[in-house]
Amino acid sequence: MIRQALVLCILLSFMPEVGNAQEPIRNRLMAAHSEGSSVGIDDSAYSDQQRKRIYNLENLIMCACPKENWSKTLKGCPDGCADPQKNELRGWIVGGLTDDQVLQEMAQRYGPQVRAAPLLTGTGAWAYMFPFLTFGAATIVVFIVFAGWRRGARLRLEQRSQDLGVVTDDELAAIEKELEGLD
Amino acid sequence: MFGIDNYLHFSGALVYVALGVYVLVGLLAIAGQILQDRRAVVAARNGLITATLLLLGACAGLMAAFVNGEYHVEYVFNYSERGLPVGFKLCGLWAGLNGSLLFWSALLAILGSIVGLQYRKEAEHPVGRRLEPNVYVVFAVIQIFFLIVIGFAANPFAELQDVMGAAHFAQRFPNGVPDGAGMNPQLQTYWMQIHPPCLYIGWVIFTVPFAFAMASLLSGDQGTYWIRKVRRWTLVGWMFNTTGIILGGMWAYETLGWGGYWAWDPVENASFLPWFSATAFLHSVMVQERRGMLRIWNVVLICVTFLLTIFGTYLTRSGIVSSVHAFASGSVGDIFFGLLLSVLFACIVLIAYRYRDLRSASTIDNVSSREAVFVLNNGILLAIAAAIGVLTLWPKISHEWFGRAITVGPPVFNTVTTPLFAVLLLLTALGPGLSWLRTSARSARRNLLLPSLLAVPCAALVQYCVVLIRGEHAPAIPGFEHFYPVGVINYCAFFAILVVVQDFLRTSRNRARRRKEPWLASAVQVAVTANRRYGGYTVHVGLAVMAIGIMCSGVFKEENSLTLSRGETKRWQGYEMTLQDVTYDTTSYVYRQEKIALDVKIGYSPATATDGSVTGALPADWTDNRASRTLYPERRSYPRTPQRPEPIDLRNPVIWHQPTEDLYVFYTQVAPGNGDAGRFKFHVHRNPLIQVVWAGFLLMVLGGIWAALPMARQRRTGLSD
Repeated sequence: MIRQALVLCILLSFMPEVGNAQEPIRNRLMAAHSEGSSVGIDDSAYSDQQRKRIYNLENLIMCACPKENWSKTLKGCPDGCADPQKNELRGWIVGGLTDDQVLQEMAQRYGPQVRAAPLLTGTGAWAYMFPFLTFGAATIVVFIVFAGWRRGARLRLEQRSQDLGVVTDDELAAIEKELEGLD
Repeated sequence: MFGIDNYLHFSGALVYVALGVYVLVGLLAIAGQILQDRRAVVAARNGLITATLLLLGACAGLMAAFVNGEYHVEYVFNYSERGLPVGFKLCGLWAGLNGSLLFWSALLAILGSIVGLQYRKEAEHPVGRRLEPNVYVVFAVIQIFFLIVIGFAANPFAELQDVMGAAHFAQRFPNGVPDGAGMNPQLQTYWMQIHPPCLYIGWVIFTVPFAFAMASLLSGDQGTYWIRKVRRWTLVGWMFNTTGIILGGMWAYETLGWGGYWAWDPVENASFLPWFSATAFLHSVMVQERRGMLRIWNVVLICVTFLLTIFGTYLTRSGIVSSVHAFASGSVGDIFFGLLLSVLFACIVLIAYRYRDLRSASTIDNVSSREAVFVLNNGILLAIAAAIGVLTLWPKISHEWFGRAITVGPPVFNTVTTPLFAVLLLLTALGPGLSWLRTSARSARRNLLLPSLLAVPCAALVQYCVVLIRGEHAPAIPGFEHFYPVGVINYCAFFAILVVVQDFLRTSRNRARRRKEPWLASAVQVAVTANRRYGGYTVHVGLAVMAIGIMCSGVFKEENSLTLSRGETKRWQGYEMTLQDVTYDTTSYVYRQEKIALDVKIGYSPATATDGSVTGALPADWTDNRASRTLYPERRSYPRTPQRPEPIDLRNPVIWHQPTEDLYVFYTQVAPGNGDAGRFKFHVHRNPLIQVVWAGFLLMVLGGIWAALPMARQRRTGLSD
């Protein structure tokens, strides 16, 4: 199980990362972006589904405000300096880009650090796998320790019962003498 | 005369005197141990009390400097200003790095004194006598470290002129320092008065179990004495830590404006890590008390808990991660890293040295036993802690390993930890239903079958209730989200709750039958006499209730962004919002306030014609006496001053707490576009069942207090330890 996870992780880490946005997408995107500044005033203008996507994506994108230093998602960044980024996002959604394309474009524009959830390929896969690998490794270590502990405890128990069972001649003589004394 | 300046110098000097006293305490305790001289140990104990008074004097001096506005002191200058209310001025003690270290040291000194005073009562206990000097040595060593840092690297009494340099100081403040830079406005809430002290107290209390664990390793007394001593200390520390964490969440919810309470911020995570290891210890200690097992493991957990508190301190003060909580980057972080490594090394060496003594003869006989579930529970708790720790440091780790920093945001934390939390809740349900040593199939059926079945309709009912709360205006939630994570977590949570309820009802009913007394009297007696057991179970119930609240408020929440101009009304998901007025207050010389009166009503008004007559059918949810409230979201602008180089724009959200949900309104900005400055933009959230989260927290704390109380019968029989 652990080995399979490790193999999967290694395979994923060798998969190439998704390339640059293709040109037609970029054209659509730029067109959408040019509308962006006027689109994002009131989110009531969007359909429920679009709004859901916008807020979900705001959770998947880091705020690019320099003072936040990649410490907050767009959703958790109510500061005004995040508004251009939020407007871009809304513009791209209205422009018909898929969630993946929006994330790609954000990464293209602001760098890979803008992704709050790294890709499951390349080095990003390790972020998901590493905690589970650590857990797996810790579990194996615990099992090994417990197995050794049980074996050791059993041996000590057997040794103790053997020690209790063996009575030397001197001890036997002393016990008999004591019993005679009682008679 | 003894002026304020003299008093400040005196307070600063007290830190160095306390440092000297702790050195003396350490030496006396070592001498007492080696020479077996009780007088030296008693002197060390008195030294602990003396040092506490000295450090309290230093803290009082710093607080007096805040109240008196001694802005020539660098620390006071950075965290206070004339217009700050006295309550917040006093909070200056823990608002920054230097003061918080002094506060930490004073708290640790108080705890050292309490331990010393406890020993005065128990001086005749043979094991206690052997442990006592070693406990003092550990306390003294930790305090010496803190006081060296305070005295030589982060002195809260340092003069501004000395820190800035005379030339720079004279250039910036040619006429002296008129005012302070002020406390960050975001910190100026009542949460600042309770959240940091709670967290600090919790963390500092974890030093007591560590001191006892180290003392037992040093003295070679591996019996149950120290375990009994530290269980209650750990429980109290755990309660403060839990309270501090949740209060932090409440603070974030009420002030940060993004509508949530937990953002997986690195420092939030750091405060969470010792909680996991302390929780693991509180479970595994029972296995040692009952079966004499897990002795090495318990020492390891105590050490890990203490190390994680130091790690959290290092994380906050080193600048290796970006966080809203981070104090600063600088040499103090490196010093704490040094402490972390030193303590780790000492723990490893001592545990290895006492390894043979710590081994136990008993083993886990059966997987279907309570101790086996405790071991699994420990594993899961530490796995969650490891996952959070690794993910928190992942940007740093990835930068070192792969050459580029990979950001890890809340989605990754949620993805990784949710299944682990589900397993933890399942174990929380299974544990109380299983017996020690071995659980027969009949017993397991009897204890677990009914709760496991009843949990299904309970979880479904809660989800149905949330759908009702959201109302017809909210969009439907996809079916899969109903199942995972909400359905799965809610099922495990109800399973855990029902196991406890069944156990309590059965125990009290059996007692009532046996003693022929009313059931209610029996229930009270069971709750009082078995307070440790049922206090712990109440914590389980609190955790489960909280999990239900977190799931429902997280997955079923709704949000929108609305723009309104004066007098305009907008409808959103069953709420009708009218912007009544905007007022500007410039009377405060500290900030300019922009306050908006937003009239919110539940349910929609009927459509009306210009003459006021109703046109068309009335909305289905309309009544004459609709609940309504005027909310006042606001923005405060703090201008640039000579002391504050950057202006601050602070916006406070406002929340309408209702029994079933919160309406959260955050004023974001004056809407851009069209040159219409009269339009105001708000971000609104509906957070269903968020009160359940806070109710769960309350249950957890009450359960913890209940479990920690020494009940009358226990005191008589000496079982209270």
